[in-house]
Amino acid sequence: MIQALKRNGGPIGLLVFCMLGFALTPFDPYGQLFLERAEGGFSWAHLFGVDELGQDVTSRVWRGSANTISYSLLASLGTLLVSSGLLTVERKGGASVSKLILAMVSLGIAVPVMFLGLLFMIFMDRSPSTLSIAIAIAGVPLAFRQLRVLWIEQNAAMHVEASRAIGGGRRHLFFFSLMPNIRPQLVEIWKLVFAIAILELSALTFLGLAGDPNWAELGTLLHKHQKHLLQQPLLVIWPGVTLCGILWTIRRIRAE
Amino acid sequence: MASGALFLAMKAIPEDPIELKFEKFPDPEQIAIERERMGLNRSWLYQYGLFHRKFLTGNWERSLQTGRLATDDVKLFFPATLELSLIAMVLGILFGSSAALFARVSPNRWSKSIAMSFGTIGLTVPIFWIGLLALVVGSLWLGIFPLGGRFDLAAIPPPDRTGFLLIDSLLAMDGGALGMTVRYLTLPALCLAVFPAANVSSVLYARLNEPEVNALYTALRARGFGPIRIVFRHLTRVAGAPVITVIGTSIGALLGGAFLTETVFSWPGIGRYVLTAIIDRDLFVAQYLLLMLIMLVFGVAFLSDIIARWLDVVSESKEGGKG
Repeated sequence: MIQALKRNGGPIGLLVFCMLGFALTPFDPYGQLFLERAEGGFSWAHLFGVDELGQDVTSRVWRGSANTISYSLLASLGTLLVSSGLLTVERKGGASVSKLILAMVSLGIAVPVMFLGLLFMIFMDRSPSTLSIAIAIAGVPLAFRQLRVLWIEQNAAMHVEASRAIGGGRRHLFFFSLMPNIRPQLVEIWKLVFAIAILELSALTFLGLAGDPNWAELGTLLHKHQKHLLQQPLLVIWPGVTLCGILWTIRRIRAE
Repeated sequence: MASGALFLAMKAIPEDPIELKFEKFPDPEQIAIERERMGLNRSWLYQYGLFHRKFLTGNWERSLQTGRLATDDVKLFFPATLELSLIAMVLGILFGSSAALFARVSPNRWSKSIAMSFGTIGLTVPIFWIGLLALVVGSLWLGIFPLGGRFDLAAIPPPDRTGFLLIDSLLAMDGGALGMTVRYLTLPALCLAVFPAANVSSVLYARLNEPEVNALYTALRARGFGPIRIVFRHLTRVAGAPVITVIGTSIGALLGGAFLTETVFSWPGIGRYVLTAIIDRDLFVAQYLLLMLIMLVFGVAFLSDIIARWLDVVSESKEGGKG
């Protein structure tokens, strides 16, 4: 674990830095600075400028990256949890249950997250939590398929068979034979699910589905600043660069 | 299953959907009449059956946004989305397959990097941000492309025959309208093409580097065939099935991307219409539209699966084995 952290010091450090946006922003991301010139561009006090409401854009982008990461992280963990549960049911539930789950997954994989997000918006409030739930559920078919392949592959592996042959119990098999071997692939699956969750969350919030139009989140910031594209294109460029930076950082995490 | 999920979603709404329809003037008598008309006082099974009947007969209620029948709005907005998505898909396949095929036959390392980087873009750069950047560069800095919309509001569009402006301009033999349509379509289509290009490129590149395809390539080279003949007569046949599969599986994502592209470029398509319906709580219309889109996604995925299987059989018989 410590070795993995050392190997990924850069990417993890960057993600932690983004998360510090919950506590360390130079200005209150929602506080209005009435003495500053709105959309005045760069200044030493406000590196990304001040938006039309007098809010410091640097602070909002920083808090935005923290919000994007935290909600997507929750969604990705939710996806993995539900997928693992579904996999357990599929493996233990018998042939008919397995067929039903596989058919549902095949259909579910064709449905884009956008449609599922909109479906959730029909009966739930427009809020970041609703979007996280929608993204978590929408990611299940993909994660389930990946986990299933991994499980089937590893369950029939020689080292697992050997552990079973020498009388290893279920818990022993899981913690000492399976887990050490599937951990790198699990991290790869989580990376994929996490990156997709970030892309989907920012896409849905860009469409204005977050509820609060002034929420400091990268997709919402892009949606809000699009109106000022002609006056201040940098207001659109900064949140986008940050979003791409976060996604690129996740790609840099090494599983092994 | 999709219709069941949508029906249950409607039933799970905390508010009364009929009251939402009459939000401005909630008259209890009118609400009661409307509830009776829509069968909401009857059993769930009856309501579910009615939902299907209405969907299949095209009786999709009146839209709160436009005041027109939702089916008329679909006829108006859906061709715009379809035109954009089809052009983007064609561009995506062209770019993606060209990159992958070129990377396969070219000895240069950079050609392989281009094919690989297409796949990376799909997972690291959000499509709507590409759209915003395209607007900044194409409209703001270069001033070549318009900021949004589908046709100049001050210009006279070609007579509406198919709903597809490109085809209508061609049918009307109107060069000016065609040029304007292309100018308005270029940026959104290029932006939306990034996703299919990334998918096609990565799947095709992986397929073309499989050992059996490598063996086929070497054998054809040994017979003295040039790279152009190999690409156009043999590799395209081998690559057909995976590309068709990618088209089928990515049509949903493409439509999702169309929602975003329409928002960025103010494109008057079905995506913006559905989105506004949901935000304005025009729920009866929204459920029919979502069902239509989901059916479309499943239909295309199913069709592409059949075509891909057929192409696989053809490729197997013509190229001797899977490769």
